[in-house]
Amino acid sequence: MNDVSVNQSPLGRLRGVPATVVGGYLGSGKTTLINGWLRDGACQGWALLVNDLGSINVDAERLRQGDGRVVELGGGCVCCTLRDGLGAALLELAKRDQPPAHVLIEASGMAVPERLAGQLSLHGLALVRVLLVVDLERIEALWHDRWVGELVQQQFEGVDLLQFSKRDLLTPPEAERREQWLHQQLDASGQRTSPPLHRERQLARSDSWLQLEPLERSQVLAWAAQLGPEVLRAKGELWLAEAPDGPVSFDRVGDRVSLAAAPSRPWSAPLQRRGQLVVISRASAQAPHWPSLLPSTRLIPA
Amino acid sequence: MDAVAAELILSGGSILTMEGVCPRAEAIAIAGGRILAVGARAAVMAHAGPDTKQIDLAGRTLLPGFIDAHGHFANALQVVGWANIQRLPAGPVTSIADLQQVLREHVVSHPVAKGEWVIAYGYDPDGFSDGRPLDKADLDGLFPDNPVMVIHNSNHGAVLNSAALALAGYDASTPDPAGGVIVRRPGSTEPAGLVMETAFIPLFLHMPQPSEDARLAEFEAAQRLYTSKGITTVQDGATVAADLTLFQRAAREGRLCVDLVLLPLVLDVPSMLRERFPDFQGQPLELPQPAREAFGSYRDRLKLQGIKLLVDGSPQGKTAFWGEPLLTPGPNGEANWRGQPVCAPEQLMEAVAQLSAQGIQLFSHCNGDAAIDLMIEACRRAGLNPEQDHRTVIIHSQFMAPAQLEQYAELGLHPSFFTVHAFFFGDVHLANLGPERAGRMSPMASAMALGLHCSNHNDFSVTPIEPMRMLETAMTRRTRTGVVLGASERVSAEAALRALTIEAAWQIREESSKGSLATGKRADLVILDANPTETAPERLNDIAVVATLKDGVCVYGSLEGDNA
Ligand SMILES: [Zn+2]
Repeated sequence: MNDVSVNQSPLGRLRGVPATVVGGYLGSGKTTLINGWLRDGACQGWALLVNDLGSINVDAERLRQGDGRVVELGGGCVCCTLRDGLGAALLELAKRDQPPAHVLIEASGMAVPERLAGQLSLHGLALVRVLLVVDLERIEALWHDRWVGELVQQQFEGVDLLQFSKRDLLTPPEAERREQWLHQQLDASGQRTSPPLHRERQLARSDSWLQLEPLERSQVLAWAAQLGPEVLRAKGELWLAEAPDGPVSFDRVGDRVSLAAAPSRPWSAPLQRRGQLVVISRASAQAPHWPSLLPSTRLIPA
Repeated sequence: MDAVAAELILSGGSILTMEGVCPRAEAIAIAGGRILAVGARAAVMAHAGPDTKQIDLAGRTLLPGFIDAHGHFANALQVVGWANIQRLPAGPVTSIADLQQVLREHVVSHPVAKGEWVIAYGYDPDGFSDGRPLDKADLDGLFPDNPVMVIHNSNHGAVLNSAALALAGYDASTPDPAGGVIVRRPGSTEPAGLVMETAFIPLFLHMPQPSEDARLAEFEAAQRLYTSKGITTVQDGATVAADLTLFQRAAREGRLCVDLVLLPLVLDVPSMLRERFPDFQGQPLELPQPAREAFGSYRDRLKLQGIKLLVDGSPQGKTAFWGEPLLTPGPNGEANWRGQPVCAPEQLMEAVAQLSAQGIQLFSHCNGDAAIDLMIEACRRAGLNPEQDHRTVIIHSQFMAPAQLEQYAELGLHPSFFTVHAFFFGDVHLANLGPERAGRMSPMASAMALGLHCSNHNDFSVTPIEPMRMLETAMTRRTRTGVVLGASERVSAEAALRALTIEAAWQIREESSKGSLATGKRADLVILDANPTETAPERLNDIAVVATLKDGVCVYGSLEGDNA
């Protein structure tokens, strides 16, 4: 029944297409960064979903001239409008002849990126990066803002990487001070791992790997230990020889590695055992090595 | 003596005019879709001519047609094809067996082919006598080959059967998405059927996308939902771009038998403009002159009245924005949860300033006191004041903090309240907010005392179209379990009726042609089988509509009352 439904899904064509989410509060500098990536040519053949076409107009034109597509996201509360703006935008993409090489979504300033990412996963896309763009100049005021403070804090949850915009507008000691302040806040709020920093303006590199043979727990830990400083984050779900019943979640930020003791859910089908890893590195980094001696059978470029 | 003779004269019942000077009349005369005369029987009868049809109300009650102060007509086009599984008294359901029976009957009246969706709305597990919620297995037996979606009464989730879960791709291996939940069977990760919030949203993509023609075909049934309750002016209170095109076509084709008021959703305004004025270059939210002029007047029974802003979510979904935390955890178990705004304060300030400077009337959805504060601040910064007669309406104005009504008066803001919340969600609000804060919901008596123009709404399809329940809850503020929320905010039947008629007309700038019975006004009328000002509040919702007239023409029931 599941196989039938996959074919029936109106988004079937987007299944497995890599996706990047760029979040950040209003005015944090998302659009400037994305426009920079477009100029760098980092997004050839990508589809770009934005909230407001007006804000990205010039460079959307640049994207259109290449192979890309631009679709506008709708918004609003479900309970009044009974619609799904993101789903409708993806549907537009799925209707076209060629699926995009990649989908990049610029979240609205009020969106919680983790939620958008969750929606993309449910729709079958392969998430490779969830970035949060942070304006170091304003973050302290926004963190305590009477209207949006809690939302701004919530936006940090579940993101893979923090990207500071406008860092160059601050003196280095001041930028340093604010970074530290933010880290203290994140650690204090601390249910989850605080995301690592990415200080370059280029789009962080992201590589994905599909694991088709089981690994020993020790192999995974050894692999994680040898990753260099160019790797900002590695995360995913793995098929471990010791845990045949389901995928085991893995996350590495800096020196901290977490590999769950047991699966939290079963495989989607008994014979569909597979793991998946995403490695996010600096833009200049080489493609990573993967934790298996076997050659990887399928590489997803992202 | 008037040159025109009446086409129709009604007398012999209670006639409630909603006019301050003359609240009761003995007779009313109609010609050319307008009220020719209303008042003492002898004076009205002077307008009778040889062809005048005279109707004896036989003790029934006649009022101005009700005005839908806020709701979503677009949802009515969908709901007419769905099964109503609301619990008593809004619907017929008290058990899972009842629900199954409604679904069985629904597919007899709305046959589905294999694989087609069956959709029901109004699911409320608290109303079941079974002591357990609905499970996918309860639906699988009836519909093994059709996806079924039983929408939760919050509109934020639904129970799915196995076919629908498969279509969505949800199984035991699917993790809960952030901000949502796929409810599991006890002791396993197998989905039980209910999916909420972000796990529900992706379902919209799998639902049938009816063609424009198919949607046009539903206009008659959708309008009947309103006319059967005496409503002659209907609102689509968050119009999206695609629906604007549909409504304009329906109007052109003469499909509207009531007046339809649209409030384009601010988020969709740029795409509406791009489609209609592709060459216009302006600031964001700057409207070209012809677009501005399109507001405020009817064409083929359709008008744009203002622009809809959204500041927060819903209190029962805990997505409203309050100043203080709730007593219960947030929608995803968050501690100290007080909700969040749905639009950035900077953008709201900008939108209010930009749009009001262009003379566009604003209708702003604000449920929690912090959302209301934010809107007040935006209006203050935009320099709004009552002398401008801008008539900014704060839709819901649900949980107001002390002193906010005074700020409404100072800035010229007016509330459209949502008193049926006391009945449908009052017990939930008590648990979330405690008696004091819950008691401040929809403070109608205080607002009226300050001279504010207060309307009342059902926010269809959030709650059913029931003018009489609006009346009842404005008068009693009683929850399902009988608790009175904020006793001092109860109002009289007359005041509660004004909120459904003349005050609702004022909010859409139609008080000179609608909302009361006076010479020259439109003959938009409703005839009820009992007088609501003389009926015990708990019996109000039993009152039936005998006939509804729009511009003097009977659009529901019959004047003689023979099908009532
Ligand atoms: Zn509404």
